[in-house]
Amino acid sequence: MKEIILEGKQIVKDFALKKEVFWEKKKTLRAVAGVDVQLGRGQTIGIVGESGSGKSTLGEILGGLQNPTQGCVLYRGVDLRQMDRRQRRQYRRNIQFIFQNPKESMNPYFTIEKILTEPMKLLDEQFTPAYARQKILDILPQVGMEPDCIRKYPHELSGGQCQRIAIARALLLNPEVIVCDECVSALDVSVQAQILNLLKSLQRRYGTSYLFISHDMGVIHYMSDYVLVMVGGQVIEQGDGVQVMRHPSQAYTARLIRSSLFAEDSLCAAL
Amino acid sequence: MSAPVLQLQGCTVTDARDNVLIHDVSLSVGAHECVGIIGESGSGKTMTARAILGLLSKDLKLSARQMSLCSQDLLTMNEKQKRAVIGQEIGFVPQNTVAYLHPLIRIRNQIADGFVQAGRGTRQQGQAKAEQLLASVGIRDPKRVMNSYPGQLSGGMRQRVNIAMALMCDPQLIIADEPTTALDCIVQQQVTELFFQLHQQRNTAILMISHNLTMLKKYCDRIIVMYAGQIVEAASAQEIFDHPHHPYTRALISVIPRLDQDPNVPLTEIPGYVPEKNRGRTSCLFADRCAHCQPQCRQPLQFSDALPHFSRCILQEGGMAG
Amino acid sequence: MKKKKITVILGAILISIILLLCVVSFFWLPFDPDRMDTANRFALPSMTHLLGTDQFGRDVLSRIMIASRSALLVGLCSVSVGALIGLVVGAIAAMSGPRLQSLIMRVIDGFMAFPGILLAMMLVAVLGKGQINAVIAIGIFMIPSFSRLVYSMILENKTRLHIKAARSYGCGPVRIVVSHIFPDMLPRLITQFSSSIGGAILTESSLSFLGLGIQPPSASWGMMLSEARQYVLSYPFIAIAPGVVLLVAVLGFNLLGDGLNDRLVQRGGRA
Repeated sequence: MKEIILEGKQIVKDFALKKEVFWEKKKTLRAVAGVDVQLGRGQTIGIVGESGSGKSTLGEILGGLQNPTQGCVLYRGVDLRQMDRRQRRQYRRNIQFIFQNPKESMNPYFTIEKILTEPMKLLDEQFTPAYARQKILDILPQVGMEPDCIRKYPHELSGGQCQRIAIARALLLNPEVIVCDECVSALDVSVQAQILNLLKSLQRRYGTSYLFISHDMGVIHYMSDYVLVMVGGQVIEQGDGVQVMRHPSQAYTARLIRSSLFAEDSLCAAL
Repeated sequence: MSAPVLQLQGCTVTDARDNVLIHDVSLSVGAHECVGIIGESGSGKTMTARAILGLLSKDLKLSARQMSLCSQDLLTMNEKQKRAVIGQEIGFVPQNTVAYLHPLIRIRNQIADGFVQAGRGTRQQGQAKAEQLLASVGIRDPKRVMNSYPGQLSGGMRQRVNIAMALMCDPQLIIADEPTTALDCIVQQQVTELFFQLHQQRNTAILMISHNLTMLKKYCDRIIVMYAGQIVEAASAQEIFDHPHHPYTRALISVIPRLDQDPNVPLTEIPGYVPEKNRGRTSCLFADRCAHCQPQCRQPLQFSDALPHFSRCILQEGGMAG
Repeated sequence: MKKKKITVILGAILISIILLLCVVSFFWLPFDPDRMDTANRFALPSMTHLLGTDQFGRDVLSRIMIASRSALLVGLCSVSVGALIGLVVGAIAAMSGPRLQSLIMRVIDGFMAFPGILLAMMLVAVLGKGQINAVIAIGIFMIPSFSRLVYSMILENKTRLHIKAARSYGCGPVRIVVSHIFPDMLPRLITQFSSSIGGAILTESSLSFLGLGIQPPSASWGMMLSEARQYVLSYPFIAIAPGVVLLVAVLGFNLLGDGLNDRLVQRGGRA
């Protein structure tokens, strides 16, 4: 059994809905309804589902951006709510995010250097300007970027280049887990392949765990060891990546697989 | 074969600073034919559609050798005649399901606008027809949808409304610009199926723009591959898949992660990014990213577009190693 | 586009006229503004008295120049005070929980429900007359509009992806407002600042007109108008001169604000 880094226990998240009339009872929407996740070191868990299935919300709860209504998130066995300041900081540093739209995930008024420096300034104990600069110059070639891009602004880069910068920003803190929230769905297919390969090779080098959220079965299949299929906030199927893809037990999963690759008849026929 | 519905020859669009956005695009859509255009973002596929529809923004300059719709020459018409012909003969289905419908007007009161505008009948007739069409695009309760506001419908429903709206004037041609990109995958499949069902029932020609090659393969007769504002390859769908000539097309086919992909083998990737500048040149635009690039590719090149399988590459099939 | 440019230029010209009057007043005045010349009362404009003299035979131009100092001073100071406090209040409201948020905003709404001049008069009644108190009163009167603006802009920005990204690497609320959202708000704040100065000058003049602002023997445009009121039928000129100057000042700042709004804000605020 691998070492468990991040764990979600019976996570429930309700959102308050706006009342249409004043005297109505409070209405809530259950975005996530009791989900268990265990993410081990170096593992990739793929979460797949359509929009509104709660997959992004689950990712944000596990990454500490939202608080669950019920249930708890454990980081290395410690409940998030019971953490002291130092542990909290440790957790923040070790869970990083890569978002769907790389350009919008960076402040348009910051240069690339400032974008990359800020997380270290906030979370890295060893931070000095020289240290940060050195680290940035070390990491850029690894994500396939030229060092002279640090003086540019996000809008001067293409979508794929911005996503590389976003990956660099996450990697600079040497995190244990990276939550990839639809991180390739806004990119072109040729760039998508570059980014997926990059993420895989970085995982091999650093042993990072990924929580990979996507609606694209092909991408999920390529990236994940373990797959959760979500519908309406619930996990309806989970299991080993190849297993779920080849032999889905639920009709919905089969339908999802068929529709996301709906030209590969030979494969669909098998389902 | 009857005359093509749409004939476009040597269409070039430049912006105010004379940057070439699309260069020398020629395509034709035959009657009852279904043609797919594929390309990545920035390849000029949407720009091509906008050029055909006359929806280019004012600061862009369009030039073409020929542009005709149902044997009527669009280039010699004035703006008003052009609008009328395009409104009659082309139905347009947009990518963004929200932006194309007015959010504060009920479907009932906007769906027949084009119909009335074109003088095909009264508003009542239009609405009656719209109801039938809504039923035929798979909406179970057309009355309810007619009385809804766009915000009350789901993305898939809105796109069905858009499709019904495009069919209102019984157009000869439907241009669909990434009609399913904004939808969830299961709905995506349903809407795509619907498109081609309509194509078969009504014999409308379709020009489908997409970045999903596998989808086009399944439904289109011919596929046009665009890259950096140019057509790089054009042939029948089967031909493109079985014998792709252009290295870009080959790469496009292989970069998509497939279910039978071994997760331990890296995906094929195309290094680099789409060139933004200097697109007007006649040397190969893909040369910088191409694995088969030769010194010749940096020189101005000429290609004949008379062949049934057009490819903008000096290497023809079989000439490539691997 | 050209029309917008003219607005800014016209505004700038009008403001520079007022600024010129103010700056020159420090070095040179045609006459001592307080010297009475009873032999020369109600003189019409001439080469010696460019704008004539008032009911005590004081030179109107000199008094207008002296008064421009206090008008600009009160305008600038009060809007700065209002903008600063408004900014902090608005930011606190936008970044705090729902309870505190609605409490602060309802109080602000309450302030906004008062007619501005009434609020200022009330405050002067509590604080007492005088220049400093006028600054405070007008400053308080400026708080609600700034805090509402800041509040709505922060709420608008808070949902943007790069703010979520900033939270994911540990940015606290203060840092998010100051370094991530503030640059985005700046163009609109500058616009609002400029337009508000016009309003502040007008309010100061109104207070002085009512005898609640700047006290005699110091000069103020509002006070000059008030004094001229009794003689307006027989000697209209002594009322026209300060009135026109007031108009030029207020119009100048408003035009500049409008023009800046079109140029800075609607272009997306990015250089």
